[in-house]
Parts: sequence; C-alpha cells; structure tokens
Amino acid sequence: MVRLMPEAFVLFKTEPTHEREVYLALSSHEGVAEVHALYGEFDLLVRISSPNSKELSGLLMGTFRQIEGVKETQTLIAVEG
Amino acid sequence: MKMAIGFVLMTTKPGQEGSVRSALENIDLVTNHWMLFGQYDLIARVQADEEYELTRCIVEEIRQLPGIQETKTLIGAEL
Repeated sequence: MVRLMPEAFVLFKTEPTHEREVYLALSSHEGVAEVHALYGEFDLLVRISSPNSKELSGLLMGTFRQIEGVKETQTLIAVEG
Repeated sequence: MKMAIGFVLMTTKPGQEGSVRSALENIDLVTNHWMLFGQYDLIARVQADEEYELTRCIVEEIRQLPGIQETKTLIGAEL
C-alpha cells in the first residue's frame, strides 16, 4: 500500500567541506520544497512536500543518500492531525 | 534581504500535543508547524528579519508554552 504523507523533513550531516555541493545538489531536486544550511549538529535541512511512502524511500535511498558528501541522514515524518 | 530562519523540534508532555500546536498558531514568527511521529512531536518553522528576533521568539514564546517538555533548535546558516 502506498500511503500519502503530508510532508517529510530530512536532516543531513555532510562530510567536511562538502556542505555546499550537497546543498546545491539538493536545491536542484524537484521533490524538494526548501533546503537550509544549519549551524550545529546537522549541516542541512530539507523539506519534502507531499511524498508518498514509495517516493520518499526512493528519494532517500536512491537520491539523497547517493549524493557524494552525504554522511548521515535523519528523517522526520509529518502526520495529519 | 537578510532573513533568519530556524526550525524548532519539540517534545510535548503526553496529551499536550494539541494545545501546544494551537498555541503555536498565535505566535507571529511561526510561519508553519507540523506534527511528527517519532523522536519529536512537533516541528515549527520560525522566520524573522533579524536573528535576535528569532532567539527572542524561541526563548520567550515557544519554550515558555505550557505543555512543552523539550526543544531542540536548528538555526539556518548562510552558505
């Protein structure tokens, strides 16, 4: 079953010095609603608008985590309520 | 234009998700908020012209809300 999700947030840790490339790679992606560079524990935050669960896993595993310089991701799923 | 953006991840006391969420609606600098499943219960997007306004909003308004248990703030940087 493919569930529709309202939004998802993905927090990224990048390899040192790769922040900008990863930022640019993410900003040019169609499924991405906004990208922000961050101070602190995580380096980047991405908001994905209305993915379904299949698109989300595709984006995460097939796209985001394949970007060179991505070290770690954490996904937060928004829910209706 | 200079702009400061932050995301605040929140854990609420059990059963307080709804009231914290309604309270967020009344905070001017909160441009959007979402309920989450997992480690955090809510995420709010906060936007201001200056960073000090962002800090004031997070410290004096969001973190003072009844029902908030813990917050973690992600501050936007310029690349």
